[in-house]
Amino acid sequence: MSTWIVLAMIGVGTYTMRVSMFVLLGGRTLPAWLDRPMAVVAPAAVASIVGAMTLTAHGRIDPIDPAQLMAVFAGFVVVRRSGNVMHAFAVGMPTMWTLQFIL
Amino acid sequence: MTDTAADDRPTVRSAPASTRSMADGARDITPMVIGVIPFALAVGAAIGTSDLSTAEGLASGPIILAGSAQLATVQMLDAGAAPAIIVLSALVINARLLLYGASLAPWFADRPLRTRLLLAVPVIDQMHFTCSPRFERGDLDEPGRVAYYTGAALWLCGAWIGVQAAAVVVGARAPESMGLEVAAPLAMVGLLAKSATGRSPTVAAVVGFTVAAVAVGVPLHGSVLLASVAGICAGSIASPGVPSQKDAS
Repeated sequence: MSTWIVLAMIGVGTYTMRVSMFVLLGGRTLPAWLDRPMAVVAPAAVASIVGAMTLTAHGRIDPIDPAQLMAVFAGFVVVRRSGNVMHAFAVGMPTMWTLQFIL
Repeated sequence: MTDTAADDRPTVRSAPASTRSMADGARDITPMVIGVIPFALAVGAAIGTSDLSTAEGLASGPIILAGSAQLATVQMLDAGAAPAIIVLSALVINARLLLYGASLAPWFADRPLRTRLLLAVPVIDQMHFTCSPRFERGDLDEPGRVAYYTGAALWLCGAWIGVQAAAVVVGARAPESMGLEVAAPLAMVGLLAKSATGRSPTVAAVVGFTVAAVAVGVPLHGSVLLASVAGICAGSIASPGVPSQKDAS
């Protein structure tokens, strides 16, 4: 039962964060001084998640295995060049399989 | 009921245009949709091997509608972490959605409140990455933006929930050797590569990535929030004052 309560609380809390600016801002736009911070929200937030996913586990620094790390790095490089997020998998997964086979 | 629907129809003058915008939104987000499918399979597989019931596992996708937080939630539930810690951790991971909301909401400022309440539901990284550059081109009016956004959201969320549900129900047990657990970081790193172009976004990303590892000791996944804030601050300071030029690619 407590699993349902946990899921419900996360759902309500997450939606509250999603919707808060849709309600609070109303018809207004953000003040201009927020333009620069807002422009870097996505790279900062996504990089933080990638850092946590690849370099940490169980609350300490504990990187994923080297083949996976290389796969993620290869995915980054190829998407940076192509601009297509599908390529992260197209290149990342074979990179990992190859490295795991070799190592 | 049918009468009302029939009466409403002629008033929607821009029906063909909005249908086109909806299709455009769906088309433009397709690479991101394909990108989240392995992620959805990975989350489904994680649910399948956890202690969560099928009903709980199926519900967690649409309830949270954010993969990184959902994955952390499933792992923490399975590890038997305290409920309050699980809730706070998930919300900390999702704190960025508040800022995505702030960037998307102004595009829908003239919509009635109930429409805006609905538009907030699919606020997530992929929506921000797809819709913000498109809206900044300035050639869509607000109904067009709603249609574009809706088309993108339905396709993204439908695929996310559907694939995940299929994985949970079928009991997807991808062989260990496939290494499906790398799908989550691969999905996120693709978004990272797309967003970290130009000087200040790159600074923001490097700082965010580094702090997330260095500050790992901060409880409740606080390192992710701390790293995001540090990255945003660093990226803002690093900006030479040129307005951001997001590629529309």
